Amino acid sequence: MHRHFEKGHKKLNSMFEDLCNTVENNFTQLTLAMEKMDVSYFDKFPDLDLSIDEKEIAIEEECLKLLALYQPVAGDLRSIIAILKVNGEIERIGDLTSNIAYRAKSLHSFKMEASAFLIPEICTIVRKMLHNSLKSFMNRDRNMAIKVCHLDEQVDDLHGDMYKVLRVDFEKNPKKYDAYMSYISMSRFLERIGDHTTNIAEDLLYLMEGEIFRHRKIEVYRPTD
Amino acid sequence: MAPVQTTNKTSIIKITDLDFFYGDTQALFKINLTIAKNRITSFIGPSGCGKSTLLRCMNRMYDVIRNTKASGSILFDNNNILQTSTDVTGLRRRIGMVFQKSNPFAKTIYENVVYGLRIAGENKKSVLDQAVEESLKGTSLFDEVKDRLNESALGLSGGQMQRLCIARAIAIKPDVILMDEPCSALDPKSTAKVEELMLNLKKDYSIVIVTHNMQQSSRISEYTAFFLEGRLMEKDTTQKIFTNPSKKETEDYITGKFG
Repeated sequence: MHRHFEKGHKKLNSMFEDLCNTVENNFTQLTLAMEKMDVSYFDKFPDLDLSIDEKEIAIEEECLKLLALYQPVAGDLRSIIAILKVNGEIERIGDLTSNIAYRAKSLHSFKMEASAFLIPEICTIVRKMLHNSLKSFMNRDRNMAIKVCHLDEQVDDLHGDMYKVLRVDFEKNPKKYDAYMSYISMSRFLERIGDHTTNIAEDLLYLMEGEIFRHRKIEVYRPTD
Repeated sequence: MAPVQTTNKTSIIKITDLDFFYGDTQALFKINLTIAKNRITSFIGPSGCGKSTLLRCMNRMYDVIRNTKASGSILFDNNNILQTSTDVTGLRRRIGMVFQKSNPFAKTIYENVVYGLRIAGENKKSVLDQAVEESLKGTSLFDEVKDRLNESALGLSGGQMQRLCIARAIAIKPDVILMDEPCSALDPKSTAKVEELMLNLKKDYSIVIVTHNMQQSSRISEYTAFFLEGRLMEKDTTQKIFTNPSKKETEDYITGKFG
């Protein structure tokens, strides 16, 4: 019985890894495209996101199948539940990546750079958070997951600073209202991606320790030696 | 010596350092366990792990097997029931048992239910009638058999027979009901009825169930104890055992990695 479950679980893990790689790759490529203002890459987005949606549904169906057929318990149950939850987080990251691409393209029409103000700094941290959250999940690396949670504060602070910086600049160029809306939206989408990566990290902590860590203060997360 | 306080608001049986032997073979090793009052506690573990033996210790059913020996204590109502002075018949009246294979007597449905009461000397028809109605209603069997109470119990279906045995057990109003794989011979529909019945019964009784069906344990019990090779490996709330057990052996067993 367990061998059958293991086989299904292995297949699920491989589908999940493929989704993670796709979403991370899309995000990384987008940040590079933003630096070069590569509009052709921005245009690829509705299709790229469609493929993520299909993968997400296939993973969810596989999780439901394993739950229904094998009624897993303990570590096996936590693993399926964690994948089911992270699957949703990753799909949302895909959507947000797509939204950023749309906003980046709109900046091109205003002849403005997407990588401006604090966007490059936020992108760098969020890229690291995304990479490390997925890597920690794959490698069951508790300490790496905790570090992801700690990075979220930096992103929140930068997003807060973004309002201040934009306000000063906006007063000089009030006619470019729509462009500033795009910057603040991009910053907000990046900040949301950061939140989703911390959710992934917290789901890993649940998987490993069987305890729900969400909605706790940052001090609770302690790396082990 | 003042009697040790065994039962309080939350527990009904307290087992301390229990060792049990079949001849020279030790079947249980230093078992320490408390059975919660008005709750369902399930015993799980691979065949031969000692769970049924422990169940049988709790109402001295092992007395019928030759050359057995138990040491330690099982405190019930402030008495160590392992003492030779224990009134075993009285004990079994208060700690009833339901077996894997339903074992109705070759008597009428009515006589099966009142069997224990008659042995206890109760012959008043009104009392017996009331006990039959209450017990059969308590096991959701009354509507199914009320028109044939004087027919043989052996004509009932497997699921009905098992519920009749439970009705027989509760007719004498025990404190504890021990169940040794009560659903293993039943189809899913009958199993569901027995499980529903157990959930209703825990209002009035404390139930201990031995089961090989892990889903059954997780569905109905509040506490689960896992046994391995005669030892109690882990006892916790059922939710904890089935989502995040503390011991690797428990995890391996319940996820099927064992062996």
